[in-house]
Amino acid sequence: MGSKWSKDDALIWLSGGALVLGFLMVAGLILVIVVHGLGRFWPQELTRYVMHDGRVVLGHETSRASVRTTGSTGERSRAYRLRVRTGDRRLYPQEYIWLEESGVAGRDAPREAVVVEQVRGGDLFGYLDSFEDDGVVVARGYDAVWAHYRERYPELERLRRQQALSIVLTSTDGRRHAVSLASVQRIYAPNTMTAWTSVRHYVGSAWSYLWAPPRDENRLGGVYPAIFGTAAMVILMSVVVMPFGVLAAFYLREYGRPGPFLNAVRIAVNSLAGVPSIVFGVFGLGFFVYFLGGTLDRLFFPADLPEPTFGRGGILWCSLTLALLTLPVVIVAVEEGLAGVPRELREASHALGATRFETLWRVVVPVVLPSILTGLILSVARAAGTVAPLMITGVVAFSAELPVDGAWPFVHLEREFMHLGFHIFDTGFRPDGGEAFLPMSYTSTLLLLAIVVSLNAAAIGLRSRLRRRYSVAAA
Amino acid sequence: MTTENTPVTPKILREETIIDVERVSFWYGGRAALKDVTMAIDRQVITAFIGPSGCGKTTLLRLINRMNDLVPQVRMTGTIRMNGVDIYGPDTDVTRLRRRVGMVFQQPNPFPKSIYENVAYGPRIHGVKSGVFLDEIVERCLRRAFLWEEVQEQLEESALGLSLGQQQRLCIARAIAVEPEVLLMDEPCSSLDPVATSRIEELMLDLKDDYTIVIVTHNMQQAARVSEYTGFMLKGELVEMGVTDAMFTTPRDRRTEDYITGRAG
Amino acid sequence: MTDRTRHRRMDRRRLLDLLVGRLAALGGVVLILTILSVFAVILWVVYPLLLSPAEYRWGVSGPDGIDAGYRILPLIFGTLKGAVYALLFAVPVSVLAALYASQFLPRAMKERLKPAVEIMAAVPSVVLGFIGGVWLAPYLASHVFALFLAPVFISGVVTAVFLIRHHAPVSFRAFNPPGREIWLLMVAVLAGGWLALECGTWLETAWLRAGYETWFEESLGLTYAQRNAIVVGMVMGLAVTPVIFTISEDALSAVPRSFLEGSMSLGATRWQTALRIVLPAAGTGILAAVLLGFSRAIGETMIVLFISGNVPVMDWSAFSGFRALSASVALDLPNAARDDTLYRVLFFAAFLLLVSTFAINIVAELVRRRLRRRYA
Repeated sequence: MGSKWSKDDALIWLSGGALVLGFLMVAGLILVIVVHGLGRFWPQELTRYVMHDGRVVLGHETSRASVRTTGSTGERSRAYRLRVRTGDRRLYPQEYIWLEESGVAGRDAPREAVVVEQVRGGDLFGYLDSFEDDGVVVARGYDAVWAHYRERYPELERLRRQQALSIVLTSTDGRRHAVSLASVQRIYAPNTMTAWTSVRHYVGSAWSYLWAPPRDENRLGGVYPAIFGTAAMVILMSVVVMPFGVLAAFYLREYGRPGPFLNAVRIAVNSLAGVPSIVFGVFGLGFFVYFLGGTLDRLFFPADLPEPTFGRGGILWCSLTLALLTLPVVIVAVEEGLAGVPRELREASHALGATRFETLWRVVVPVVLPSILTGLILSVARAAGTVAPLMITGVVAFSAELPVDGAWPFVHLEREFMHLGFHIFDTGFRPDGGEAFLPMSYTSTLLLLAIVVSLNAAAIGLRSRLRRRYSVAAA
Repeated sequence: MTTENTPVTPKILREETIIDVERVSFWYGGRAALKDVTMAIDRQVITAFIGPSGCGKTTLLRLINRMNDLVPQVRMTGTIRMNGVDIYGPDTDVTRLRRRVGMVFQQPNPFPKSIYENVAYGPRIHGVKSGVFLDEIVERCLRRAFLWEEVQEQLEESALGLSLGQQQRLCIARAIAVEPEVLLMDEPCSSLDPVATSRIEELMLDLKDDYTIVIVTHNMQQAARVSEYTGFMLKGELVEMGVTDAMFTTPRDRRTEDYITGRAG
Repeated sequence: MTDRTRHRRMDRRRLLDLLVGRLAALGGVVLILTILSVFAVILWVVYPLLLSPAEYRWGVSGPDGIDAGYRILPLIFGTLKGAVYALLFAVPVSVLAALYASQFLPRAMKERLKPAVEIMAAVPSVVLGFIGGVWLAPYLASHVFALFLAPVFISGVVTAVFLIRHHAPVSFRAFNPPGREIWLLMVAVLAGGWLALECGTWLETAWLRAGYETWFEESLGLTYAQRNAIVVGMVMGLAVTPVIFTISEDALSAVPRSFLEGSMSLGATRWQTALRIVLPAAGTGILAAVLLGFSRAIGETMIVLFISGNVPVMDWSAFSGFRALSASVALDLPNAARDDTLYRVLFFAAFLLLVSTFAINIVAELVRRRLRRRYA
């Protein structure tokens, strides 16, 4: 190339820039999700802000925003405001407040500040005041209360049932607030934590995020019901879509008579793959919920009418809707696998006197099994990430019941259920006052992203291994 | 027009005829692949068909075990009989026919299964369940295909790990495992090197005591080496058919002579 | 085995074969019925609407008291607006990227690129919508200047890096050898973006009296809604980019090498060849790609739901929000009573989406098939 350059080379370079730009933007957005999602479980230091006007605030900073101000003489300057989380609404008027940074006289991290996580409701920030048993003070002062709490902590589960025990917190403005030990999930003092205890806290929080039910209307706690609901729905969907999809693919590639009709069906299937997910939801509502569900109700549950049993959104209808949505995914994957089976293998089998079915079952299916698996993984990934159609066929923001439990008949196909993707929508799409939900939705977004991406990576890996094997076999 | 002046019927019935083909024509879509072919194949000899690519010899072969049933949009007229029974007749069960007429293909095409399973595949389909019996069949067929010595230690390994020549012998073992009467071979050596080719040829000569072998080849030397009868095909017509030696030394048709002396094709 | 048992076995085998054949055919029939039923069911609900006066059809308040403001025209408009902005972003980026990937990227790099694009395509739209609505929209709202500066700055820095690279001493080549340009490009794009951010912030403080909102109103007569068409365009653009990129790249790669060699042998440069020979030859394929991208964009629900603001305004302004058909269905259908006018209107919205995307997909598929046959 030398030092002489042409306009053309520069244009090539710029088109490369377009490629990189697209990637960096997606990577950037994902990075934001990862940082926010993973950062949430780290114990955050509680800061005490002492304001010039004498106000004292305890909480942690969640963001810092710049504001332009124009002074009286027209000079422009930049000021900052802090968004501070002050904990549960029961102790302070607002969970999040703005503080002018210029108004902060001093800040420190008091050792005795604690966070009380409640079984129901939000987190309380305050100072430990005393430990009471039926109104009688048993211990007073941070160290004594803390020691008492640590001592009792192992038997917390049992103590929960005794309403009498309570911990008294003092707020920054000196008010006292008793919390029954029955409603205490966990107490920790973030400002005294060492790196090791922080890591343990982190792991513990992440663990309970995965395995605990939500608290405080989805603001805090875990997403176990959502994970469970998503998994149950996806399994149910797979059970429906896999046999049907595989059979349909066999029809398209093996049994159907090649010709314009089959071609038209194939084009229709491909076009079905391009139909927006929300349209499937509308179909699901009209057909599955109202028509099928309504009919089932009339036939089997006439006693409960007009209260619908199956005639309203539920996990079964969601699964069926998503089965329809992912049908083209399965068909395309299996068809691709079938197309890759060399003709010679089939002929060899036929030449030995095998019937079509025997050839299919003993020679073709073993070869396309990985493709079928790829189809399954891709459809599961697609289903796990699809939210829109579920919103109208039976997903709910909060449900105390799981679709599978110990009560007869164990699998409750008619129940509404929680879903990870919808959980993101529910917690992330709040017109106002949504701030308290955001940490939760970031984490759920990260979780969903991780699930979907790893499923897809698995499918891609499987497929590339498959291609390599074929190329070896052909050589 | 061809039919009249071609000395078609070398019905030198040294032994009885096993397959006879009568006035068969065949079309792929609108394209004629065979034009009015009539001939007979004798029991327990090797019959070879030679001719340039696209002359219809493979098509003819595939008609004998009805492999062309699997190809869409084809048409056939005429009759093919095996032991006097029309194989395209309404009473013929195509899977039973194929069991009696085995086939070895141009490219070795073992199943992506173990060596053992490749040979056992046919017997299993046809109802052999006993393991001992299967072991016996597998060993007998592999020995018959001169392969036992080489693979007896690796019966459970993938057949795709064998060399091409071994794979082709495995395919022959697989074909004879269902005890066919006729073995059709569609250019079985075209993808093999000379050493592997000569092993297959040896095998063919050995097998002809038990099986009727029909081989399609574009290798004239091979036809001359292994076959008793040879048919020469050109553009879908069977130009000439007769005893191999006679055909290579004194061809009756001008076109045959051109082909075997290398002036055409 | 006696002949008799053999026959019986044969019959069983044939029966099984026949049975499975019929089962597969049944699968095929059910498949066809399923596709038809999607149309039938939705049409069944919409049908009464088609018979009624026009104002019902377009969703003005009906006798059973749906919101008087519920008109379907603004929704159609909103859907188109969102799709147009998404394509404005996605088409240049993905077609240029596809051109680069197919013509200039080393093979090994391309092999690594493909799975990355597939993963990108798999990111659920709820994830993109969430991060777009909750993080990107407020972020851009406080960096409006940077948003305007970014295209200029990024292309400027990329060009500058190109010049430096060309005039740099040969030893630089060892640092960034040919075939590894993409890493240097990455640095350049990042640097351009960062520079745009810094300058944008600086400009805003230095130049504007009050915030940009006031400046927008005063000098441009525009209102800046935080959730607006530009953010939708960017995020939905990112969602459709993999679609357009993959199909365009396939079409571009399918152009026979002989075309390139013919052009280059006449002395054309690589870029001239790419632009004048390859791009037109793959034109129909790229058209199909853009069509599919458009179809994906009009049906996209979660992204518009999160970012568009869901306000039924009808203007083309980049800084105002809109309300799309898909988002309306998702938001309002859970509250619509069965067989109510609102219910039917929303089914009508879904019907419009179904018919348009299905038709676009068929056209794109036919185009692709023709292309495949031509170069097969």
